[in-house]
Amino acid sequence: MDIARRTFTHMVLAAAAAVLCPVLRRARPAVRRVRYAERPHRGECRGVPAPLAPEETARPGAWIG
Amino acid sequence: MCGCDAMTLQCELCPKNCLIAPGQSGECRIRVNIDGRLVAVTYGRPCAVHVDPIEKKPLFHVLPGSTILSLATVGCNLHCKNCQNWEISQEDPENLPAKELPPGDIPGLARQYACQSVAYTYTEPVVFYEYTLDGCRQAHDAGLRTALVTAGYINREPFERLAPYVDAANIDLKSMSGAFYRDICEGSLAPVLSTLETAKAAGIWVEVTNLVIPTLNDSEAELRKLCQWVAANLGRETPLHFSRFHPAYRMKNLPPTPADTLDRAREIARAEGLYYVYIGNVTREDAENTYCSGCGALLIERQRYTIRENRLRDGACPSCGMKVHGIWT
Repeated sequence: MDIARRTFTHMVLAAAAAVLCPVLRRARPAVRRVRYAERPHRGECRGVPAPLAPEETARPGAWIG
Repeated sequence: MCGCDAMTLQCELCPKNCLIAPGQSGECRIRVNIDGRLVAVTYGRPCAVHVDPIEKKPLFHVLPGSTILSLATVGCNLHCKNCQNWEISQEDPENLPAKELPPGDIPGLARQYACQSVAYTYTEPVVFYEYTLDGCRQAHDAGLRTALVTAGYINREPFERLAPYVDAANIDLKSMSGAFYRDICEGSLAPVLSTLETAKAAGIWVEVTNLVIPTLNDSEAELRKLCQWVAANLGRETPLHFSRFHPAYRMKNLPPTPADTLDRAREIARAEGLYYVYIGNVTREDAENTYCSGCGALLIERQRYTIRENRLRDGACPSCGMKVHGIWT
């Protein structure tokens, strides 16, 4: 009895999957895989423009010896 | 038209493999899907340009006493609760000042400020990968050394492509626990170990930093496991920096790391056979000195970012002649 019930359940699930999968596949957005990004075109860079003025932090010690 | 206008992109630069819908960015905030093109929007637009002592990276076995031009753009692919630079790593690029510094201008700026090397640091050079790659190429062509300060959270293939242009790297090994990476950093451990091994195999000079956080990664078992892994996979000559945690960002509930914990970590590392072990972010007399692995002689005496004395002779100990590992010229 258990085996019959389990087999029936599997058949129902398989039939549902067969019907639904193409629908789900069609609904999924197209995805393109990309590893490297493009360099931005003019106007695509983000950030508030600021003057280039390197900040000098603590000076290291000079070589001794 | 290619029909890509409304296409979702999957960025495969780092193990996050973000799915990025049109107009959106990946978790790093700076790799943006613009009309079906993946664009690195901070390319050539660093938010930090500093001239630092190289000891600040920290890189203790690379040109000691020299200055290094240090660059960062906004963004990071990890979200560590204890991030010390969260103001720039966890911010949208639109909200912060950015300087215009194309890769071709980097060598000239480095020379202007008497820097022998260029570092990509502060945030995460992995996420502004294309800028890092082009900048490293330009610096190499100009005869400058290059360095990364990174968490190493990157896929293998892009890292291998970058490696030939990198001389040195300080790579964070935050913990040997996958749960730590998941819960504290929103990442995972395995890619970081892979990056460390890849860097070593590629001939990059590697130094490792471990930020010791009370109760989270300071157990003797974990510290020992980390030291054993470094010794076995990167070599005993790999400098290991145990760094003191200070409460910051979303982890202000924990106290700073006790100095005794750092001393204990250093003892464990030395017991596991590591030659060069340092303690950072703490004022201790001998915390950052380099000693000869052969005879124990003091070789480089440091105090914070200052070299008080450098006794190395052609990269070797003046007492016993033992070669000291690193990039010295």
